[in-house]
Amino acid sequence: MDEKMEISIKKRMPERSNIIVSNIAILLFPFILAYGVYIFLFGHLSPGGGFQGGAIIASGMALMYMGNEKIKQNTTLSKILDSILIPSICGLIIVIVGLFGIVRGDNFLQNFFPKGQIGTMLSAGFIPLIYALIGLKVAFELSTIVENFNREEDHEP
Amino acid sequence: MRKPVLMACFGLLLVVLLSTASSINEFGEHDIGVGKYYNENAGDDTSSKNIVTSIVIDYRGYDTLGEITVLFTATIGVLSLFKREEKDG
Repeated sequence: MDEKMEISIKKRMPERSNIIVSNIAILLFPFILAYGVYIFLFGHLSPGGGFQGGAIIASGMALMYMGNEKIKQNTTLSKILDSILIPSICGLIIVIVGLFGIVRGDNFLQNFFPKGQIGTMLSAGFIPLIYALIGLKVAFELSTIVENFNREEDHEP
Repeated sequence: MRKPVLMACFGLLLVVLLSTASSINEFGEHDIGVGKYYNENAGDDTSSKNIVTSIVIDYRGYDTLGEITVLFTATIGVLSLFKREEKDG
């Protein structure tokens, strides 16, 4: 009974993905990465921000996991994603930057960087730094979730 | 037996809601000044061109830290469910 069910499940989910998906994934992945980085670097000038940019990058990773067979066997990438080191470091830096506000005698997460000219790239104090950290953190966390769910699908008992 | 009780509760709720309907603000008018303050002063306070960003990161930074923590906790939960165990121990 169990073997029959496994065979029917395997028939429904073919091993290799569609050739259109696998080719387009490799073509589009750098552009999706660049677009996500743009979204979270320009969060203080245009609509968007860290969460949105991170979600875009993670959706690019989901496309790669759907289309590319090599990235599933890449053990270094899955090790990096599974040890949630980069999100931890990013969150720690955000908290430390926030604590500097208390050290200076202001509030927690006080914006104490020089403000700069409004509308330029390096303006708005620490908002670009915090948003870049949030973007990295969200991108890696959502990629970890996508990678884990995807691996569970391929898991053979 | 159950239906009259439910209808009575619903009627009570309707009476409470309708009794406050006369005292709510006109459409577009409110007496909370924080939105107006952000609209006028966010540019000078944070020099960010995007007011939403200046609220999310600057005025309400602590709330954003909580959001980040929620996502982090969700990732840890997924990892604890799905992480492949080492075969050799």
